[in-house]
Amino acid sequence: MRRFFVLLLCLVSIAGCARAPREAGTLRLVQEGDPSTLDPARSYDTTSMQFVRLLYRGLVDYDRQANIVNEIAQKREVSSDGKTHTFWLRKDVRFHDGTPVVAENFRYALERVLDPKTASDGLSLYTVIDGAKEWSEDRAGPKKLKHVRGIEVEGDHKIIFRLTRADATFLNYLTLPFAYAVSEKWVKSLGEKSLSENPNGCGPFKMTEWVHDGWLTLEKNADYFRPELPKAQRIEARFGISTSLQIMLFEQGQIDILPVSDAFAPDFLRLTRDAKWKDQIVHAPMMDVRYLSLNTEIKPFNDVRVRRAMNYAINRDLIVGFLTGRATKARGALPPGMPSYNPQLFQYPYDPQMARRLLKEAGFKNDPDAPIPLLYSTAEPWIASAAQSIQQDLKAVGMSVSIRPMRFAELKAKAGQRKTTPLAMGGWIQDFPDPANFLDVLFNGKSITPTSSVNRAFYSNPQVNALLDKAAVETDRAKRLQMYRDIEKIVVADAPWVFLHHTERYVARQPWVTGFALHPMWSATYEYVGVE
Amino acid sequence: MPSFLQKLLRSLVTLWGVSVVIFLLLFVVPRLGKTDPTEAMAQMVAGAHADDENIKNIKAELGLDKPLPVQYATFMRKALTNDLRSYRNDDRVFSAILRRFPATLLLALTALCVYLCVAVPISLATSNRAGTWVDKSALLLSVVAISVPTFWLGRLLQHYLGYEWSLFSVGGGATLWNLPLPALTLGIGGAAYYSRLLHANLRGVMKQDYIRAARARGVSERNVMKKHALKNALIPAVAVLGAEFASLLSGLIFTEKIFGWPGIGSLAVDSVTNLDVPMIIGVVLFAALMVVAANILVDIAYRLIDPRVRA
Repeated sequence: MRRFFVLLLCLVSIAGCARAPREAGTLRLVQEGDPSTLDPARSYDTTSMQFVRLLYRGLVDYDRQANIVNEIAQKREVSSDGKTHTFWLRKDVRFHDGTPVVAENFRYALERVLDPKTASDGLSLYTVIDGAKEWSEDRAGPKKLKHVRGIEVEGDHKIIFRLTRADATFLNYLTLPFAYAVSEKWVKSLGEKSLSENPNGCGPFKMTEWVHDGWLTLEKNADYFRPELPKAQRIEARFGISTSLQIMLFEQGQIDILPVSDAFAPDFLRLTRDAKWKDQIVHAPMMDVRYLSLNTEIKPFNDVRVRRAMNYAINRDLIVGFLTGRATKARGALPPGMPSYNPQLFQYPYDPQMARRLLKEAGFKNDPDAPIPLLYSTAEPWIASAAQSIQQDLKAVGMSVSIRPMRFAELKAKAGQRKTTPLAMGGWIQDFPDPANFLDVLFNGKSITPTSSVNRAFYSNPQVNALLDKAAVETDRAKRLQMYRDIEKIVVADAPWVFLHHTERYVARQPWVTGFALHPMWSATYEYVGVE
Repeated sequence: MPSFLQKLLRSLVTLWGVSVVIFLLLFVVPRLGKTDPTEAMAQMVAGAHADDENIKNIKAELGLDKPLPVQYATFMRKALTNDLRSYRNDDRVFSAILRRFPATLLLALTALCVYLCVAVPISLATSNRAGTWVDKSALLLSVVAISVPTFWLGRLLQHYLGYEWSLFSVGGGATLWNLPLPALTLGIGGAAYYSRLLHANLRGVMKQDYIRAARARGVSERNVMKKHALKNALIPAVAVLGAEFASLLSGLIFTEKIFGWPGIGSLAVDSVTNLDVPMIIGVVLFAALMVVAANILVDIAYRLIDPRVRA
């Protein structure tokens, strides 16, 4: 018996000290949740897109300055009216199964997205292509259209997109995974099996194994069309690991790259103040905006003076504090790093006296027995603290507010419904780095819908609407960016939101990791990362 | 044997009851608070970018717009034919559970080993010394150990033994070197419970005539304990094993999540946070099946080791 215990103790302590050894060339990652899909037509969340981009590639992509550059396209042309986009393809690109990538694969990928049966979130993004809507609606219909009229394939290496109207953002849509090359033959050969589980792209990595909520392993694609990439031989991602365990594993050197934007405040502070890790942490804007929407169709927020008063009344330094400084105070809607971002834009200062004066001017009558409801989602812990802090700030200037926590889905339904919700906490993260994706989507009167409105302030200023419509078709980029700067100025003066802050993204990396840098569009570009 | 069949039948009724309760909790209870749970479920499936039209289609596709009894019947039919699929990734629910079962089983069995390895020596040491300071401190410690919640103990062990002192791995996968801390977390409470149980049993057994007879025959005290007392004291301990297994399963949920152990417990947590309803139903049914099966096994084992029950 005694001998048995000694043996057991030895075994346990040996086991305790053992660790998986680090291997050069293998990039080890962890994440709380695993990708919901690896099908390019269905991936629209950060985690899924991050991995889909390693497996699949498209015609165009962004460089680190958020400029659009050729990827599988080797030459591209836009007609002078901005309606026709022509691409010539590289000839040396192959899918993981060895078949060459041809123009037809891009048409098929988009037709898959446009097919309602695929249930792609991207469907509405591509209806600007001539005939796309018709094709989509006809899937089960009588016309039996073979292809989308506006996508023309000439031979193996030329593809032409014709649009219904000039759209300055069209190229951005082609950088999204929805538009990445997919082989029709491969999808057909899978039959009942899903493309998500059996990916076949032309990206820098191939998938070797994926166990849902467990792990995902990728292996270098030796035939990748950029021979210098990828730098790593393997990627091993583990899922279902809580944020606090992630940090411990990182500090013990068992993880190579770790996003710490969502880490608990004590963990984050410990890491950023530790001399060992301080210099291993990089940060860049998340390219988002957090706001409190003021429903301009509901009293008292139909008065611009009340809306401005709200912007003066709320102390945004406190809210940034709840995020342990992982944010910058907002001036307008556009985050730093976004083209058209204006660092000189007027910023509402924290000025409760001014707020009180404006409220008085507007004749605002407070009724403590009928406080104005403020809706917020419990999805992120800081929002609850922010809502409470806003409630206090508003009380200080004489406005009673009751705060209502709810699930994200419920908030979305209520805040998006017309003439229902006076105040709601909201957030918007870019689909692509273009000011139109913020200003046109969030403030154009056109984007007001009776339910599920993304224009949560239900803000419609005819002057702004006209300028937005003009900017949307402007083909001169410099001119266009200036137009958005002018538009943002008017929006800030109209104050349909309280502009709160922009989140800052933080990532920690081990000293042996090379080539890692944050990208203005993608949450990660692991093909450039090496492990020594 | 008919009593055994009766037990089996009763187990089936239990499982059916569990299925009704979980369905009521998911689909009916939220309605008492005037919210339609299927709305949130469809939203979850549809993703952040979906519009009302999308959500309506998804509800129809999943059959979430049908009357409740029909929904219940559909879920159960799917569960019985292994056609229950995750809302998140179309994975078959029971395949996902079975894939993760070995990891959970390894952890649970190791925890049971911890039970015995800790409880047997402690109870042997204390049963002879009832009322002394050894017994009293063991009692105090076991009361503390039984009362400590696993989610707190787990974080504590992880932080000190794993992170601060680097004695053991902090977790992050189902490997042997990640096993000690979660097994300890799960095992300590049960070990304390068992040490008290065995202590009481041993004290009872020691008063029996056959022990006095063995001593009279000149058998050494050591052998009296090992061969005669302990074996008999363990029999009632087997009986509580079935109930103990259920509490082990509930402890697994937190322990696996804390240590990133990819078993059924962490699957349960993930499916609840993702509102993955088929997965929640699957995990609960599977856990119920495990408890029922463990009780039947204990029953059989009891018959084998205790001749009095057989007769």
